[in-house]
Order: sequence, then structure tokens, then C-alpha cells
Amino acid sequence: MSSIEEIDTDETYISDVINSKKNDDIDDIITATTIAQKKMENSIFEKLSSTENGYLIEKKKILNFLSNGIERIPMSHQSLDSSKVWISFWILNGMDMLDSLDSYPSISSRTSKYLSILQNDDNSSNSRDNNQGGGGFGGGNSHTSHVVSTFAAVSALYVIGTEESYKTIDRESMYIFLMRMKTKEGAFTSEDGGEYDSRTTYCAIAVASMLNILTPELVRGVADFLLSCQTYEGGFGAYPFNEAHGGYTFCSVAALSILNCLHKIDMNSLHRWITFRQSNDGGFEGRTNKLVDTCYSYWQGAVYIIIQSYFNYYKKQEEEGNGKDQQQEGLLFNQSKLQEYVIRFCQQSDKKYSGFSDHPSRGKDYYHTCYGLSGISLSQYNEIGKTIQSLNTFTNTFEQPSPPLTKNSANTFIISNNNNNNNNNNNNNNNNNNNNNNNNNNNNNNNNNNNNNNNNNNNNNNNKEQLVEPVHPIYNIKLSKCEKGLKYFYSLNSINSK
Amino acid sequence: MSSSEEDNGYVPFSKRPEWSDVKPIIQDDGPHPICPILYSEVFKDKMNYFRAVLKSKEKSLRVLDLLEEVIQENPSNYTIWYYRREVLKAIEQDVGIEYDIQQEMNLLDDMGESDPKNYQIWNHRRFIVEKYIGSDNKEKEFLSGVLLEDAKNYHAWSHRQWLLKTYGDWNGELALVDKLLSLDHRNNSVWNHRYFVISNTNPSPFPLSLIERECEFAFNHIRHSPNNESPWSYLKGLFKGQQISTIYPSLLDKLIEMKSKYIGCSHVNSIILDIYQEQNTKFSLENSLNICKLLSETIDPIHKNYWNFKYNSILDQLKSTN
Repeated sequence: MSSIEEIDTDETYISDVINSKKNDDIDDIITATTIAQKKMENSIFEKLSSTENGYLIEKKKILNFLSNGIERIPMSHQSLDSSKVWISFWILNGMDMLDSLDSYPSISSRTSKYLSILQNDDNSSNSRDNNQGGGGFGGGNSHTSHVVSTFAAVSALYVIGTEESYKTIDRESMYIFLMRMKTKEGAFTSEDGGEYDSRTTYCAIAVASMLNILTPELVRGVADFLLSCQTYEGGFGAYPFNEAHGGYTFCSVAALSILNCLHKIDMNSLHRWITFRQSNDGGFEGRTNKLVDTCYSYWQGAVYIIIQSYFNYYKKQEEEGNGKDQQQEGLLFNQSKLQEYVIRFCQQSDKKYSGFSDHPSRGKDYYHTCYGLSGISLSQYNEIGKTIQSLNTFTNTFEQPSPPLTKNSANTFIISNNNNNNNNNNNNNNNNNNNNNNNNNNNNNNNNNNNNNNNNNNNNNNNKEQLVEPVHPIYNIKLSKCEKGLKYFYSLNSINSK
Repeated sequence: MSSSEEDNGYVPFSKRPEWSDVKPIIQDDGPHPICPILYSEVFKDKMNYFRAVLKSKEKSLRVLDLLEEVIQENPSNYTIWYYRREVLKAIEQDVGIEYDIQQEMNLLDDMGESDPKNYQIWNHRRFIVEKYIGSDNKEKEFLSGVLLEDAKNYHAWSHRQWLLKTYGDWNGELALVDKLLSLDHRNNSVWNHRYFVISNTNPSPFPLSLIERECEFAFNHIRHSPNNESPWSYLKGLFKGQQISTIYPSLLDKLIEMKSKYIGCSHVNSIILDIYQEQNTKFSLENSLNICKLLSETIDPIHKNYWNFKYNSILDQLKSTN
């Protein structure tokens, strides 16, 4: 139903044992995990040896793919009817990250009118007493209110970013709905009689913070529930004691960030866990010993940026008056390798269309195209974490300032200037020498600034075209649209929470 | 209705006499919606009748049949599942209607097998077990089947944890862990399950005797594949809420021995770093700095930024101990 359901793409357990041993001689026991990993590596090497895939984001073709979706979605997607709002969000947000949404003809009125049909008034339906109703959005036509769909709908209306789209949302009714979904554990259920976990809880908290309905009553006990989802590994699960998982870790950490409770997380174990989720393939895996997947470029990458914001912020506080001026540079993941994974290995192009897939050997889809672009965006703006601070001046309803975000997007990590190394990689490819590739790319990462300076004008232009718009790590919406929406909703009166 | 679909044996609801009293409701997305799905005729037909039933609030056996047909088209339609729960609750109250709840389990078994990662199916399963079946359920057998297909299925493990928390019966859980680890000792879901079982059957923080036993368990697996992260995280997790250097100081010697054997293993180095930082002496911190350098430059360059970060924080720690 939700996008997080989609991220749980397992490798298939293949029975045919690939007759190859791991290079590492002490790690020579073959299991289902290593077979799946080997298969993945093979498909990467296939991509490496093909001359077609470079480091360039095929923006035009991606836009063809996405804008086609605005007009029609193929029949093969009808089983996603309950995620129609999500499909709409993935497409709209993808186009917006490529800065090509606002000019699309009558997109604001079309989206606003369509989504207003999906907004429910639960007072009029079903047999509830009137104070208990409220209403969120359904996932598709004739669907009851659902917290996860509601998050997608509100996000989509933020992405549209017009007064028309903002006014579609009934905040009073939304507040009653969210309060109705709240459980005694401090979580939110997805719907009447639905499941609850860290994902549904994030969606509720994110919606409330976007609409300026985040009352003390609504958030009471929520942080404790989310904190109890952190596991012995360091990441977070769907529910206390569930396995640490990239999607649920994002949901928990992002919600705790909105609630200003990052300091209550075991940050060292989280930092360690998430670091090891970036594999030598460059991409992020969702869980320990699982395969990398494009969508985790966002889920895990965003958490990394929140962690960086946290460390920088608290470090600064600690060192105030200490005379120290130390900045945690390079705290982030290997952004260069991440982009290589998404752009070079998972971009699936034909003559007209392009988009991203989860794994190198699979076809593109809307979901991975959206989260692939989000992940690339997070990798391109080193200082994006600081931008949150300026946005938080609108949402700062609590005593403590939220994770810092600033506006400094000057320092970019883009990898299109690695083109020279393409050939090297191709040549090395048969040697299957992972370490060599790693070293190459790390060097590239270090040398990026120098390269930028040395590049001729041509390359610089090229680099600019390869930038994706900066997105907010907590909401996955373009920063400028976030700012606009927050400004709008935080200029409205607080709702009457009774 | 296209002729090919009718050839496939689908009879539209309008041609079913038992539904002649119901007027279908066509989907209305407004004049110019975004992202319209090109539904098949069958899909549309079923949904049109579902809409009608949802509106009239009919709760009957024929509605259960209709819902089953619509769910088959789209198992993720949570509103259909929601309405199904409402119908089941209603016919339970109605003495005139008999419905064998085992039919519901059969439906769930079938759908669960073909769509094992569907939130709605698992949620409905929990609802039925909790409300109608209770402790006398066959959930463990069903889960064994699902885990045999995909031993890392997140929903299945979550369901198992719920089952154990709700109905107890922890016997056999560690045996299951052993069995699944013998098939794939890199399956992290199984390690997580072991941690869950241990945590729920022992005091917290863990007593030393248990820690020693479980360390041995982890080491037995590490010996096979030192680069397997799962047992290392498990090992570290055993000390949650306590300090390794206080409760089990001899572990360090063992780890240092392993470190010299498993050159290139970042996990053993990572846990040694933790212990050194706990010890917080000039000697241990200086050693840590060397380890961070080694990891960042030679052993684990992909995570170089992390090891550099560690290096800097240990450097700060060292300065404050002086």
C-alpha cells in the first residue's frame, strides 16, 4: 500500500548455485545471501562493460516517462489502484526535482480537484458519532481515509505549491482524523482497524507538522514509541524488536527529528549501522546482508543527513566558548559512489524514455525514479542538512530548535566529471577488482573540488545541467516548495484542538 | 465488456440474477484527473458493485463473496478489507447467518502464499486470529511455510513476534533459529529473532552467564565467515546497557587475537574501537587512532568518511583525558 511496502524488495532465493566462490578466501561459505549478492554483482559488471550507460542523468527522457504518466497509467498498474495518490506523488515530485512541473499545463487545478475528490468526510459516512469523524485522504477513488495515503496527498499538494492546492486540505477535519488514529502506545494506526508501526506514525507526524496542527496533545507519547523501535543493531524496525530496516529507520528518525528528540536516540549505534548499509556497490541496502536498492538512496541517505545535522549542531553547542571551530567535514556517506550506483547502474533508458530501477537488471518504475532522484539530490548538496534550520523558524513550536538546515548549496558533489575514469573501470571490470574501483572513486570524491576548478567551461555547464533540485531530507519535497508551504500553513491560526 | 473477457468465463454482475437489485456506481474522478489508470473492464465491473455495496452498507454473505472477488483483483485495497471486517462483525451478531471462520483462514492462506508481502493480508490475518481463533491457532505451521519460501520476509517475522508476545509458547524458537542459520548464517532476520527470543526470556540487562554463552554462539558463526556482519552486531548488542570492558574484560584479548587472524575484517576492529573508547586511557585511545587510520585508508575505504569521523571524535576524547 505505501511506498515503504515497495521498498521491501527481496532478492529471490535462487536454487541454482552460481559456480563461483567469493574472492575473499576466509568467507567461502555459499548461502542464499551470497548467491543473491553474486548475482547482483554480475549484473553490475554487465552494466559496466556496456558502453551505453554513462554518468549522465537523462533528464529529457525521464521527463518523457513521468509526464506520460500524468496523462495515463497502464493497465498493468491497476493492482496499485489503492496507491494512486502515491503514484501521483512520485510522478509530480520527480518532475519537480527536475524543475519541470510548474510549467505543466493546468497542473495545479487538475491535481487539486482530483485530490479533493479523494479527501473524505468520515462524519457523513459510516455510523460514527459526529465528534469522532474527521477525515483524511484515501489512497484512490472510493477509498476510506488512510494515514499513509494522506501523507502522500498532502505531499503532492505541497509539491504543486499553490494557494489553490493548499486550500484543498481541510485542516480541522484532518486533526480530528489523526487524533482518532492515535493509539495508547503513542503510535498512529493506518486506518480504522488497520496496523500501526513507525511508518504510519511518521506519516501522521509529518502531515501534522506540514499543516501546523502538531499540538502537544497529538505528540504526547509518540517519541517514546518511536525510540522503542531502535534495535540492538542501531537501526529502527517497524515495531519494538522488529529487525532494523532502512524504511522504518527513516520514518523513526525523521519523525523524532520533527519532535526534537534526536538527542534521545542511541546515535553512535545508529551512525555505525547506517554506515555499513552502504555497500561496495555504492548503493544502500535496507537491512544487514540484503541487496542494495535504489530507493534506499533516499531512505538511508536522508537519515545520514539528519545525523550529520545532529552532530554538527550539538558539537557546536558543546564547543561554544571553547574557542574551537571544528566542523565535521566528510561525515556523510560516499556520495559519489551512491550516484554511480543509481545513475550508471540503475538508469534504464531506451530511445525515448528513461527512469530508475531498484536493481541493475530490472526495469524502471515511477517509485524508483522518484526516490532515485531524491537520493541523487541528497548526494549532490553536501550542506543540505544546514538548510533545515532556516525552514524550522516556521515550524519551531517547541522549545528546542530542530535539526539544523541552512541554505548553502554551493558545495556540490557531482560525478559527471568522472567520465575520464569510465574507461578505466571498463578495463578493470574483468578483473572484478572491487577495491580498485572503490579507491578510484574515493579519490574522485576527494578531488572533486579541484576537478571543478580545473574543468573548462564546457564541463561546468554540463555539471550544472546534471544537478537535481535540492530536496528536504525529512519530507522529500523540493526545499523551495517546502519553504513556501510551511510559510503558508504557519501563517494560519492554530487549530482549535478542544 | 470485451468478448475475450467473457470468453474467459467472467460473468459481469449485471448478468447475475442474484445481483439484479443492485445499481452499480461508476467511478468519478472529476473532469480532468491526473494519472488515470486504464482499468480493465472486469476490474471496473467489480469495483462498481463494490462502490454500490459500500454506499448501501449491506452486510451479508453475498457481500462476502463480492468482496472476495474484488480483493482478488487488488489485494492491497485496504477499504475492501476494512469493509470485510465490518461485515464479519455484523454477521457474527446476526443469529440467522452462519459463516465458518475457517473459510476466512483458507482465503488468507491462499492469498498470503501468492502475495506474502501485503500489509492488508497480514493485518486481516491478525484480526481473525485475535478475534475468532485465539491460542488454538496453526499460525506457526503457516509461518514455517512462508519462511521456507523467503527466510527474510519482514512481515512473517513480525507476525511471529506478535504471535509469541500474544500467546507465549517460546519452546522451539531457538531450535528454529539454529535450523535457519544452518541454511544461511547471513540471514540477519534470524539473528534478530534470536535477540528477540533471548530478550523476552531473560532479565535485562543480560546476566554474564548468558552473555558468555551467546558470545560463544556468535563466535562459532564468525569462525565460518568473519566478514558476516550479523553475528558481530549480535555480539555487540548483548552488552546493551552495560560496558564490555567492565562486565567481560577478557573479551578484548580474544578480539585482538581474532583481529590478527582476520586481517581486513572491519567488524572486529569496530568492536575493539568501542572497548578502547570505554577504557578511555591514553594507551587505548592512541591505539584507536591507529585502527581508524588503518580502516579508513586500507581496510574499509568505502566508509572512509565514517572512520575519519571516528578518528576526530577519539582525538577529542584523547585531548580531554590529558
